[in-house]
Amino acid sequence: MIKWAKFILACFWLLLMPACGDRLNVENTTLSLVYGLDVDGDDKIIVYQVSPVFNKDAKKKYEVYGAKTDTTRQAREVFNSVSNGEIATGKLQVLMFSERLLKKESILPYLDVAYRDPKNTGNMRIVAVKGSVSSIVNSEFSDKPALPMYLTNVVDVEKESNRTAFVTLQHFHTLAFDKGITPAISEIKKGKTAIVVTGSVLLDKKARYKMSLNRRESALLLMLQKEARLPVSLTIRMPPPSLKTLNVRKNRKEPGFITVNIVGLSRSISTHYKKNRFSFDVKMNLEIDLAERTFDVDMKKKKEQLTAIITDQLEKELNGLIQKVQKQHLDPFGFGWYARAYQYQQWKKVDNRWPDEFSRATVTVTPTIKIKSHGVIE
Amino acid sequence: MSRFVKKEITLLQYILAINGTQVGTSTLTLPAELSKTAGTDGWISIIIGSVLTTIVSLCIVHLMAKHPGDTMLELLTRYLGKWLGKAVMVIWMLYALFAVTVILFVTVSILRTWVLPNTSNYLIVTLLMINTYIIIRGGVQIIGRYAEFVFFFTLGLPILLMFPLKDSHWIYLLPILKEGWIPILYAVKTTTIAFLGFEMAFLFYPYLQNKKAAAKGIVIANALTLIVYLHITLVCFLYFSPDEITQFLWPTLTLVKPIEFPFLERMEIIFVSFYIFLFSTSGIPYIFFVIDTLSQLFNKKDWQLPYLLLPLFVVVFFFLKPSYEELELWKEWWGWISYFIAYAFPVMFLFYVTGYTHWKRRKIDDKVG
Repeated sequence: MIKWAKFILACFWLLLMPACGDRLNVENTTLSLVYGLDVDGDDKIIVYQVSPVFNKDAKKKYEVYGAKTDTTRQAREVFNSVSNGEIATGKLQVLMFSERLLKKESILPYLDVAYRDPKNTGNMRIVAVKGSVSSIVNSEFSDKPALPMYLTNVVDVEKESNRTAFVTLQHFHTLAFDKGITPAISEIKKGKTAIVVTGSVLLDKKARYKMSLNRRESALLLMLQKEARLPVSLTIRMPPPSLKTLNVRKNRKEPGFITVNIVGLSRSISTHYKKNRFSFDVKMNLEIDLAERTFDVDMKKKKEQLTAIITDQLEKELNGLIQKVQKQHLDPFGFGWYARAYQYQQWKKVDNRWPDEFSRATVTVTPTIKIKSHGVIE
Repeated sequence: MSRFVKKEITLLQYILAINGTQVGTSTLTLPAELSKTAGTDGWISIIIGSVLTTIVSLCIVHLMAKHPGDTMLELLTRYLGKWLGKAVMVIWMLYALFAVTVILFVTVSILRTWVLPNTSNYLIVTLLMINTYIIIRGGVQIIGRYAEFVFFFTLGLPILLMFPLKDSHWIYLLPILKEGWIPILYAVKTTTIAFLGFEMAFLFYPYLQNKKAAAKGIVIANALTLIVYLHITLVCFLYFSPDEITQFLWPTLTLVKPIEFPFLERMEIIFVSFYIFLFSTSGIPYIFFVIDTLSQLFNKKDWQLPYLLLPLFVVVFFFLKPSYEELELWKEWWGWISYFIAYAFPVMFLFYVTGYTHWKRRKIDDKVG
């Protein structure tokens, strides 16, 4: 009798326990892969979402919805009112912001929902769009894969070749809230036949647009951050006088070019505080492989001169970039971390206005270069 | 005592049972709580907290060693008299009851936030209680074996927690002692609640096979807990910037969020699912303590009535639905109560017992003399 009672009780539990009441079939969801935020003339924002369509009858393989709302989360209700299935944002790959929005206001309030909802992934890419978001989401390229996939891939490829400051949602949280660094995110625009990654956008401490970096500057930024994925490939233009020192017979009018692959990168920063300002001494040790050379040079005899020229060029560019960024009162390199770690007493006084303080700091980058190999030909 | 002969636990089970009681929901919150008060120096507070806990734990072992085989109630009545001893025991029982209530509520709240947002509280608790019943029916021996199982079963978690280290920055930890020792000492307060569970040595000691190793065992248990907390805290401090970590309620889960496979996202769900085991080992000894104490107080062997406590929890969860802030408040209360009961009492009692025996011996000596 008791056995039966237990059995019935167990069956009863089995009926009650499986929590399938709130299951959601994939066919009944609209799986957002791309979200884009833009502004119009007024106070409201325009939110776009792009999701794939899993249906044989549909001609277009993805769908785009737009909504004009006050907040990011509010847009989901508008999307739901028109979409085929319930909007699910758990698989978001790309989160885009137009530069117009970035220039107008801080994007942190719009990101709140992304951090607050545990259902979100932390791996979505944060991207700035030159021009309007609608130009991207409504673009149609007949020779490219479906837009959400293409957009994701194009950013990832540039990440691998170090030409853009790649940032995920979670990493952006660090950059936005740490007092010693300012955020840098990827920048894309719609080209005629493709989507182009144009480099990086630097934001200020309130996550507003400050300036753009081109692809080459982005590579240098990544090297200075020590976030670059090796090898970093850089093409360096030889200044005409330098060719003379190398004894290059000038057979063409164009200046010489040299492409190097940076295969080893180490960085040491020494931090000082003197004369009322911070000073950072950055020593970069670079090991490079020669990948391309458009002029003749005797590598055995002239290796040192060549090294010196490359060093000189890089030094100029790196210091130039830092000064250019300093003028905008930004610190995407994270020098603030070093100020905090090694000059804490001074840092304490300025931590809330670090980017301003950094613009007064003296930074000197001294690269040291060693040519490791020059390929399989002389 | 003869009635424990068959229910002995090995030293390893003793170590892991205590360690299991200590390592609980704090693994998810400790790094953020520490950095709120002590910044990135919070990890030093853990070491200090651990030393403190070890000292109190040794006091407990020392007390119990005076009469090996005595249960806590027998020890209390021996020195405090029948009624005062029982009164203290009742206070301890209520303390354990409160502790397990807080642990259960926090566990359910974490599960609901991260994994099962649409499942009702009482349903989750029912599932937890079924396991609890099966385990505590077997007594201390099964609790020990269960702790052993859980420890080895969840051994993979610390390794997975190393993955985020590829994005870590050592520079976050510098400078060490940035604000001096005061905030660090202040943050020790936060760690004490994380180390709670050592007081279950009172419960486990009488069942230990080799009682000589009890002191060694409890030091190892505390050291294991220290390693677990230090590991999690340091990984969090290296991964998160000191300015952002305070914004996360459960930084350990946010930490594993970016781990991603092509076929799997939201790694933290798997983590929480494993952590349910860790949470269960921290609650079960307290429940057993309450039930065991009840049958001891009423001097009934194999008493079934106290087991009604388990369905009672389901009823409580059905009616009581605290908000996050209320839960935080309860945790704070638990912390405060624990200072008196778990931390201060064993030390005071040891002083009392030592003084008492000293005084009594002198009296006997006087008489003989």
